[in-house]
Amino acid sequence: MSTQTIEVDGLRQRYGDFEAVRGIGFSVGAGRLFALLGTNGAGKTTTMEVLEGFRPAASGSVRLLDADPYRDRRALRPRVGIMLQESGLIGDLTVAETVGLWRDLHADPLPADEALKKVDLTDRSGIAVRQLSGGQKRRLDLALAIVGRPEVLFLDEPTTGMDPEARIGTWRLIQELVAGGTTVLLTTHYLEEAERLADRIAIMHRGEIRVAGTVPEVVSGHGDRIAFRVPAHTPIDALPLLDGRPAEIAVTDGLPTARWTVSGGDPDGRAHRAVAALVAWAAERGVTLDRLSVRPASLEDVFLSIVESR
Amino acid sequence: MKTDLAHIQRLARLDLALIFRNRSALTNAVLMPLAVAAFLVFTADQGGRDNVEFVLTGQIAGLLMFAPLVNLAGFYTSRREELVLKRLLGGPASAAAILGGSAAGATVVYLLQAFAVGVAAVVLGFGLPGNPLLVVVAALGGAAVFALLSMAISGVSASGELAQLATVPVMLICFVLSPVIVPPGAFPEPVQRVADFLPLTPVADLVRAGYGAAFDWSSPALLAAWVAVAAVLARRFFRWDPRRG
Repeated sequence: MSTQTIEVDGLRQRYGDFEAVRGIGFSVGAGRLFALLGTNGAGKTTTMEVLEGFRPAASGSVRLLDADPYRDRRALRPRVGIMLQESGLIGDLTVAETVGLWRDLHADPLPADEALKKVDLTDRSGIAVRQLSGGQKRRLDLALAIVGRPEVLFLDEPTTGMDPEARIGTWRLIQELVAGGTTVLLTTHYLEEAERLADRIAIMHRGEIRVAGTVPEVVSGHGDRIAFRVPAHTPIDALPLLDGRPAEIAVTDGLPTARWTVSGGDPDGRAHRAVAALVAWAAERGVTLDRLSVRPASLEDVFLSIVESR
Repeated sequence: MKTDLAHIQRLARLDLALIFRNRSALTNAVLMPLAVAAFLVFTADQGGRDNVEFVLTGQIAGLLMFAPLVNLAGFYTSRREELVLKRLLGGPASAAAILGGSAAGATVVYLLQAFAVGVAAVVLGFGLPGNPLLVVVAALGGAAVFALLSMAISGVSASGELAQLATVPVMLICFVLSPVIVPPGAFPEPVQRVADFLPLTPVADLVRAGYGAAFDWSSPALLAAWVAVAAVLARRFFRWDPRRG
């Protein structure tokens, strides 16, 4: 018996000559939300499709609810909800008929009005699916994924095409589901979405997981950002070294700004020590540190540093 | 297994609702085939009463070319390209139930049409089949063969329209060479030998055996062989992922 709801170890997957997934591993505990981030082509959807049971793992092991997602698909299917990246809904059916069809396929579905209410489509129930907007179709697709009360939910870019209001509503629904014990594997392009929802994240790039952990863990490995405006009449080479490194100079509003990323030492005290050194330097020279800012790395900083690396 | 049957029934109901809701599907799958059958039966009148009976019973086989072949191949293909099949496969229904549901829907359409022909036979004074079981075996076996063939054809077609186009040669060859409207023996020997082994031939022979012609065990044997061959082809060529991109 595995204690993890989702377990992936050494998964590899290729399409012809192209190796889409190159030996990845991660696990997701029951009632947790794990987010896979990455650019297009990073291997997120391929990983999802193996876990969803659409294709067997080429090599490595993949377990879902302690079963093989491909071989045991028949047993797993009723326990799993899937929202694909691209939805294939029947345009001639109404919203209510579509939910009705999926309810009939499940043994113990949510009531139709409850499913529609959760995705805020109650007032569209009589409309033909082909007349829905892109964001509304995504919400209907989400309703279909949850109508069978799944234990595990796969969401492949669930909020793509939604307006901000719908996105926030969807986030709230996902949070409710996780609070209710549903395990969720999510892929997204929106870093904010992962930051808000995920217990743990992994950033994939070119078929590999480059970094994984909780959001604070992931960002703390990427240093703190310190910046201030270079004082007038201060030559660049007079700026101090922080963490043993010289400042990077960027020009904002026509004035030079000095920036450091300090990543050495203990993550809790390193920003303080760097700022103390800067303040001492400024006092010695009799200048002020205009527009001084200190912030931890953001998920975006981490993401960009991975995506821009070769 | 029980859930599979429940799913097949539900998905067949879905397809029937969609066929009767969509005017072009209703025309192509339901009305046009009946019009063709009626036309063939009425023009057969010139060949005498035996010829009318031959063409009439032949239609019970010939109608298989429409809903369970041309229409179903188009249905599978357009749904696959629109990702509907994959969406369904991500749900609780099994692959067999999803494909079987559409096949069952098409079979119901065909059986209603075949029933209409049977009623026409009574009205025209040819009576009921003496051995209805043979007619039922022919109809269901034939529906299985052509539904499976439509899965295989769908797998090699890039769009619903192309899939329908790809079924046309199958339809024409079966319609002309199998004993649907043209009695056996009308073709040169080599052509006749091919015609004897076409999938529609045992269906037509079994229907006529049900209506009193001589029964030969080679007919159900050939039909069963075709079910097996079509199943292998369907397994080999059918696909769930779109062909585009």
